[in-house]
Amino acid sequence: MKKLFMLTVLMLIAVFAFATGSTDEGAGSDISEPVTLTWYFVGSYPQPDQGRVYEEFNRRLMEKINTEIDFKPIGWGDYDQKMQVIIASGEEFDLAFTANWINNYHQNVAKGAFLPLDDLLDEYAPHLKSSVPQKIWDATKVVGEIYGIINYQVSTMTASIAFPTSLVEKYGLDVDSVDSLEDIEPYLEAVKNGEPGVVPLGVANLPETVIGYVNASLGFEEIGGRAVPGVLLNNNPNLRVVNQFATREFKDWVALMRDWNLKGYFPNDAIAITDLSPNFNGGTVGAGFEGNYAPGAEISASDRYGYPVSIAPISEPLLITSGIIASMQGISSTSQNPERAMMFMELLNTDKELYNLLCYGIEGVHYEKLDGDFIQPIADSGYAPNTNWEFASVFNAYKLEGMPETVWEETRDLNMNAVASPLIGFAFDPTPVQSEIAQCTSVRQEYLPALELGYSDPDELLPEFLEKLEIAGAQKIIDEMQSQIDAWKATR
Amino acid sequence: MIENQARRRFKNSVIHLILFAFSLLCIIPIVVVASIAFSSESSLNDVGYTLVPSDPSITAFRYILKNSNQILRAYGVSLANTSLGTISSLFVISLLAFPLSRRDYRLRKPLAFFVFFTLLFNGGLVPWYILISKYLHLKDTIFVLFVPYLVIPWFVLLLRTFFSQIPMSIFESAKIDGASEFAIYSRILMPLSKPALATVGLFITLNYWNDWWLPLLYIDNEALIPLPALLSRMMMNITYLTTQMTNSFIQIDISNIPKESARMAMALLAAGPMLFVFPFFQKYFVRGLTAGSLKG
Repeated sequence: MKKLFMLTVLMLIAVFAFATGSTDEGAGSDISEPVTLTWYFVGSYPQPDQGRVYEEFNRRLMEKINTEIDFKPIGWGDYDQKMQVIIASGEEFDLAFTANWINNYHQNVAKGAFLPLDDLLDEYAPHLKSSVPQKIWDATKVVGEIYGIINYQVSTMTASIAFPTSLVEKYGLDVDSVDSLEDIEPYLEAVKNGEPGVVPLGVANLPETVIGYVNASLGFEEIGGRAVPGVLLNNNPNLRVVNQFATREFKDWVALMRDWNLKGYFPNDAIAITDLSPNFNGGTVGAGFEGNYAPGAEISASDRYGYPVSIAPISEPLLITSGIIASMQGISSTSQNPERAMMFMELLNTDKELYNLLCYGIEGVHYEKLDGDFIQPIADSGYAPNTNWEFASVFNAYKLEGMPETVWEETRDLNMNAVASPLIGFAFDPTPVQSEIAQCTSVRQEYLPALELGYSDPDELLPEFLEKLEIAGAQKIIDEMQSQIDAWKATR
Repeated sequence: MIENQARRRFKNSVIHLILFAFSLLCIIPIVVVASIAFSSESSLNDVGYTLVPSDPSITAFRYILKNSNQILRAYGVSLANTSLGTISSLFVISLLAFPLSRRDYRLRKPLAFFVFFTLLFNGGLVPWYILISKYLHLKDTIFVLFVPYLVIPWFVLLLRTFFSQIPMSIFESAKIDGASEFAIYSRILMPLSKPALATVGLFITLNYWNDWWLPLLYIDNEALIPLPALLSRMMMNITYLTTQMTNSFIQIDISNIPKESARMAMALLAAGPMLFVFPFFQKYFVRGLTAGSLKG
């Protein structure tokens, strides 16, 4: 049944691809004809003032390349489903945001939803092509061809912890010297004793696990998605896949979490709390796991929490495929004007003013320009999507007040100097082991929260967890990963 | 005699107790929702949900006021779509159910099968989407919010069953008096079936009022988003962001997402009109139950 459905979808797409293919001959690189491009992307939409920004954007774009954008901003929760229907129905559109975590890139490429871009990039976007290093383009390739335009930004994975600066200063923690989770224990102890009403380490029962935050510091590179058994441990050069839950690293980590819970560093009812943001925003947390570290992260985190925040990376930066393909634009195979779409992408990646208009809105209305490239957003201005990373290369973005002058250079260096995973360019196809993954996920949901929040003795619970994972087919998933990786390696 | 009275009183109080417990089960969730709406966000994490706000605050309603434009417009769209939808849907469904209930209609069986078949089978999401967006061109119009649900087979069958209980002889005598088929429908059938129409009407109203699926698929224009879609979108955004935050390499700003209390305040707003609609229909429910009981 499923196959039949896929076949129908593929046929539909083929028909539309054919229908459009016949009409764009002879379009050439001239921009004499006015063109409207439809662009789907995701974010906290609607923004109250978005219409005004888009109008201004189109006015400027019209002058430059005789093009208008039909903006289709979609909310976070709707985007995935909406794009699936739009793509499956063969509806005409030109550009869409795609990534490995939403509007799945590899699935869309497999469905034939996107055009291969190598020639278009060379012809219409030479600057964009050369501004991104080849090893990063390599990560987007599917069977040798690029299907996604990289929104170039930090591509490395680095685990990190955030602290309120006031508490760090009060208890004399040297943030620069923190290299691992264990280093913060004396600080947590001091906060626990000195600050009643403050939770030393803000952890909660997140639907997608705490371990996601510390994977990098344990040396895990996930292959099949969040907390699916099977990782590459410490860049293993033989590309051997192991079960991360059976490693010594995982065992030590859950033992530490157990220890910290018993010492009272966690919120009272961590396992019942799913959202700690009121505590973070209220400043009643001593430390918390922060997402992926990037230069300037302190400033954006301070912005989010509403008070000064210090951040300590607790792992080496690692360059991996899933970090790179986390933000791209695809050009639809139903597009009538792929050349113009690519010209638009080139412009958005090189024209600072256009790009920042989309990021921050109109100067004087949505933000105030300060010295140089620094700006300050105006509160409640009605336009603040806060998603610079999804439109184009962030290295053209204005800097927020307080960010280091050289933040983009530092980020570039971070990308260039990071250790590249031996798996760059490999993408796991989970279809053959879908049911095993689903079973392992339900086992994981049952056991992992209690383990990572230190709610029961890992000596008892961990073996039980591993046994249940085995029954659920963990080894089959790992074997499948191994065979796909071996096959991939053979083609290189 | 006295003993009898005592027993009756005891019986009554047991029944009352059961009814009382049952209504508590219905009322408490609404009270809790209201209490959360009036609580401060931090108290929710510290104390949890309570029947009376432990730390009363109106920040949630301040959030709603700040976004009042959008919410008011969504309210308006919902009202328009529900009233338009209910009226036209009732009209179409009853027009279809009437001939299906008439034994003297020759195409009754094939037509009934046609209705019944769609109850069990449908073309699937993608063909449906293509039909509505590509051929009917309903995308981003107010019509897409109610036209796809105009005929719901289950309600057609419900009404048909009710209609077929009305004696044929009434229609025949009307015909002898010179009434056209449409006059029979509008002047005899409709007044006679008020209770059934009210029941089905309430279902349809709830259906339209609560629907977020059609706007999710077909509405891109912000001005046409109805209230439930606004709410469900908010919930989906929140679930999405909290589950995907660690998954992605991307820093997503979640500070301006409405917190739990704001969500509950919106749920209160959304439930409001339905609380008033129900008693209106209830009048007919009781009538429907008692109608004809005297005639035996």
